[in-house]
Amino acid sequence: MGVHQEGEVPPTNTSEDDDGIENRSHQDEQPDDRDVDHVREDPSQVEATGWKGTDNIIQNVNNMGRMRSRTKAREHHRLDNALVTMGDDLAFAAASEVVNEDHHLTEDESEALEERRKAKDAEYQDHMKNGTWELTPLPKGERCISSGWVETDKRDQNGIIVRRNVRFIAKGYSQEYGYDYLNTYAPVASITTIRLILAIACILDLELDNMDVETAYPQSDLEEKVYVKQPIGYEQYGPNGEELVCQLRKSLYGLKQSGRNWHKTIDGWFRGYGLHCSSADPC
Amino acid sequence: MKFGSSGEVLVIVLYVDDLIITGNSRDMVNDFKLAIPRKFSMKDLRELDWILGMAIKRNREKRIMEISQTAYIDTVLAKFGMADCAPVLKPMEGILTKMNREDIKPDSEYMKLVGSLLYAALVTRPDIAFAVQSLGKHLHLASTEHWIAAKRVLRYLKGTREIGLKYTGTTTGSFTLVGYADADYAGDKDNRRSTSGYAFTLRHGDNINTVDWRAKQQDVVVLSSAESELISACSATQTTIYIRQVLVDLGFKQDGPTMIMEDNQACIAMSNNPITHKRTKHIDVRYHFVREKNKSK
Repeated sequence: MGVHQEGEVPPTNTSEDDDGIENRSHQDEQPDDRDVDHVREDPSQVEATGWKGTDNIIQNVNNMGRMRSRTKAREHHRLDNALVTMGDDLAFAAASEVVNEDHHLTEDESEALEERRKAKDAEYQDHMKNGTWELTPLPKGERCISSGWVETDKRDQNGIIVRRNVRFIAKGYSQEYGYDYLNTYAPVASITTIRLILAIACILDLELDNMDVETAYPQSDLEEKVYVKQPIGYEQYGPNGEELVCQLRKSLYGLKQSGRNWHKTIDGWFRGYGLHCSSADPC
Repeated sequence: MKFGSSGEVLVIVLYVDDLIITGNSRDMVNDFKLAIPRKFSMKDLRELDWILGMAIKRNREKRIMEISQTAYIDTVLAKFGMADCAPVLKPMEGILTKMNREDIKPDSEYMKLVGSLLYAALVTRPDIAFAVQSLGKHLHLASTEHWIAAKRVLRYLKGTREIGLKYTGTTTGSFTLVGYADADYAGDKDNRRSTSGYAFTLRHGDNINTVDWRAKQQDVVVLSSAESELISACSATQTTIYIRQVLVDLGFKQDGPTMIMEDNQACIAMSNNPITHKRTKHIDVRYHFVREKNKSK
């Protein structure tokens, strides 16, 4: 009984009042109720702005952002935020992770910004070291997926922020089935299995250890050809000043197929190590 | 999982990027922990004390393990502005009914609250499982009454934020899986459906360790309490098969049949004895599943 990842993910707080992704340097102090109501009243509005916006990206990659009005951009960001949070959930699935929750509350906000900037640098360097992508000009007829930065606060068991984290993500919602990806299913352990193992470990006094994979997704290879925009703030240009895009070599957070790719990678390693897969709960 | 030459076993539970490594041999666990960083960049968190929002406290000498979601519950309370609410002793009071009023619109805040509660109910809190499932039936049309009921669950959690599951064991003997099934006959006042409930425990000597539970509204209307109990016995039987299979995979095959405790005599009789009676002849075929599995024990 493999449970689809979304099913077991704990509900995470997507903060309503934060654009988060691109214009985090000037944030509005008041909650942005206007947009929320707007979306709630008329779902077709989301279609009209949010998803059309997505089409825009695909058609006019270069003009993205400039063409949309402030309101549209806002709504787009909201969609981004929701989707991105979802992608992030898939990756961490930890209730301790709360996106941007008390972003305005900290008095030492400049310190937080500084931390974020450092985290961003570190993330960029990690990707460079990892060889996550190669810079190429976008081939004719190929599409480019937009990308962004996502900020999260890592909290400890008491809910205190221990680390500010930034991730470079691909906006996977603009991927098209059959073109950019095929299968996205990845099994995870069901909660029953986890409890069963804990109970047995307690009864029989077994060893019980915990390990965590650091930045799991970019450690798995990507088979499909996927192009994403370069990270904002770290753009590079070709020798003649032409625009370059990233052709992904490894899975990136946010892509639809990343979870599956990661599972395939680690599952393959487990099998190589001599482990068997449970037939009842293949995780 | 991996089996060693002399009865050692290593079990890895993978939850995306979280690994629970368990086994009866320290060497095998250490070998694994040395091998995996060669391929992936890993962080060793040593003893398992925190996974998926559950805090795990363990006392190995006394064989006690306590699992709770205190931090998660505090986060939920703060998120819905109930951090300083007055605690109550019961998670629900009375029965929620549907409100057929025109002005009620889907309320996403209510959905978020129920979703947050549902995670607690699924992971460590069987005590609120029924309350949360009855809130969940009204997700699309939530009125003030439902909000009050949902906040009542929060207030109950406020008073009981530290409780969770407790696993205990002794040094000798093996464990057996025991199930309990019950039903709330026609408890829903709107559509008169019944609610199934079951719980599974691993019994080890006098220690009872709850490993799985569920409260779920049945998907058909039934005509007698025996019938509703039969349906919940059916759900329990399905889960039994699953848990037994997981146990087989882990190398703890259950030797005898698994007992499911059932308090309805008519239901027990029906699942033992295939006699069609004029009051039971309408019962859907699939609930005779229990009878078939009962025979094959």
